[in-house]
Amino acid sequence: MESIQVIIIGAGPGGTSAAIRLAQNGFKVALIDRAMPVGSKNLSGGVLWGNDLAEILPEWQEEAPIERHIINKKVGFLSNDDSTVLDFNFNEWNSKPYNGVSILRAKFDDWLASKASEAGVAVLSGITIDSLIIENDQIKGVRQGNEELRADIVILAEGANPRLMLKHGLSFKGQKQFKRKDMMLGIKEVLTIDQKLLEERFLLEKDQGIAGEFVLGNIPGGIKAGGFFYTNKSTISLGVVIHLDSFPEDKASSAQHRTYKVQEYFKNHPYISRLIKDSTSIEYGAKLIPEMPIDRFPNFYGNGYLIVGDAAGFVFSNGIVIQGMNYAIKSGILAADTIIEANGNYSATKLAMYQKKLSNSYILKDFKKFKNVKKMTKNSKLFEIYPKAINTGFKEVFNTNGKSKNHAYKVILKSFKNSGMGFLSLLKDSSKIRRI
Amino acid sequence: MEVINFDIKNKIGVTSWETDSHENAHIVVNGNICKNCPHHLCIAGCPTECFKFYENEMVFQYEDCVECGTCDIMCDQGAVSWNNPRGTYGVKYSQG
Ligand SMILES: Cc1cc2nc3c(=O)[nH]c(=O)nc-3n(C[C@H](O)[C@H](O)[C@H](O)COP(=O)(O)OP(=O)(O)OC[C@H]3O[C@@H](n4cnc5c(N)ncnc54)[C@H](O)[C@@H]3O)c2cc1C
Ligand code: SF4
Ligand code: SF4
Repeated sequence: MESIQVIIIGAGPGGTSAAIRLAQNGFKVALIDRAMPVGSKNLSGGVLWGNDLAEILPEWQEEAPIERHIINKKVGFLSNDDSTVLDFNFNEWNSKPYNGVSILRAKFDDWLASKASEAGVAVLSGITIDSLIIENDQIKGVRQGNEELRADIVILAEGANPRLMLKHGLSFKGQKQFKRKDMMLGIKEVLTIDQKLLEERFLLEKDQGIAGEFVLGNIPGGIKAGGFFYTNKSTISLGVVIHLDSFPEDKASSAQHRTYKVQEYFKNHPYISRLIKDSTSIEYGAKLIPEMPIDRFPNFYGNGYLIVGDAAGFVFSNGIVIQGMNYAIKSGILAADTIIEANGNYSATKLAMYQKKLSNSYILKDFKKFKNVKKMTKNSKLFEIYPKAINTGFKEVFNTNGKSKNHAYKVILKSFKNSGMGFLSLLKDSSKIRRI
Repeated sequence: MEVINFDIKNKIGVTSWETDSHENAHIVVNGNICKNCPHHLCIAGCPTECFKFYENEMVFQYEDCVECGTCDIMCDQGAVSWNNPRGTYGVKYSQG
């Protein structure tokens, strides 16, 4: 293990993409992950959107363990028993390069790590890094127990629960713990179902898949959450994303509310329960999802280190989509490019180049542009009022009840008004929604 | 709805773990602090119900933990000390 130039902590899509790019440019890289095999600690919804991986693996859509390519997207509003679901079909999504593919992380991450090995990366799995070696304000390597491994620079790709960053004060303002308002919890199950039944039920031909995302207006106690399902080959990934700051801070509520019950409310909604009928749960898991606004991101670089992916806060969610893997891959590649161009000078001053690369890429542009959307997902009306108002409104439009019909938009507006939403705040919100 | 009395422990049987010994538990909870906790948010937050408040005592068991980190965030009272499990130990997803 002599003369390692770059140590990367975390073999998720962020760390492994950085490793591949570096190895392709002749760097000696150690990629370290606490899971054995790689991927067995990781969990996503998960649809990998976009084609960033092609920058390092042009043929990835041919080789990767892809479950299905997404041709149909549903966006829905669920209230207690009712639902309004928009159904988007884009024929272009049916041809390569696919716009989005469903994947399962245990298989996908292991495959990506095997690509890193092929490129010459030393992949060390089953090792939890306990601490960083910091000398003269510069990160020099990593420690596990009594053992040390040194390198010229370290990439932190620890994911959403970055213990090393928290421990060494590299998080936002050196905080040792995240705030509830800055994190969501994702809970996910994998449900197995007969493949033919799945394809018939979801109107899919071979290898085609669906991504469904929902605003949940049916969770009691004011708890804010979204739900998702994605079709795999012969399983369905189904889960919820819960705002941790929406739990009331008192013992009586805590005796009653549970994050895992949110998943049950989602599964038991009539729209969803019909779709997952005759399926069986084969895995249950949970993971954090960063939700901090751009002004609470950590510094992305410092003397001897760069931060990529979830650890840097790069997850985009607006109550309707969750995207993180593409940002992880892209930031991993940009971190690698920074190291390549830094020419052996890994001082913070030189590494500031990484910030510039992030700003010029879609990553920081997205987070800047959608700053207000993040606030929108904290708006309780999105969860408590909109789903019900939309569903009640459309029900009145479509119900044949012996009364004379009214213009649809009037009915929907009335339904919003009845739910206590003033016209002005509706306008204010809709100007935010337009940015989604 | 049947959700009210739903028992999560019946569900997590499908997930796999490689459980480390008690002295290597990756999360330690200082139950004395819990007695005066104003909110018990760890209980509401944990997706596998590792926290239970029973006869004025916090009972924590790390075995069913999926290492999400939620309890560390829910607890603003300083009772949770959170570490990654030792390498290879802990939850092991086969799907993810
Ligand atoms: C329920 C849910 C649904 C999601 N759905 C989607 C989706 O559909 N599409 C999408 O794009 N994104 C989705 N995301 C977000 C996505 O999972 C993340 O953005 C993505 O995994 C981030 O990649 P990463 O490489 O930064 O971190 P991770 O994938 O989390 O990888 C971090 C790695 O670091 C390792 N590690 C951590 N600490 C140490 C240590 N001290 N020593 C050694 N190894 C360590 C871990 O084992 C892990 O392998 C979802 C997330 C959740 C929770
Ligand atoms: S939130 Fe913290 S102090 Fe309160 S009960 Fe839970 S672990 Fe104990
Ligand atoms: S890390 Fe997550 S699963 Fe583990 S005890 Fe804490 S809240 Fe529960």
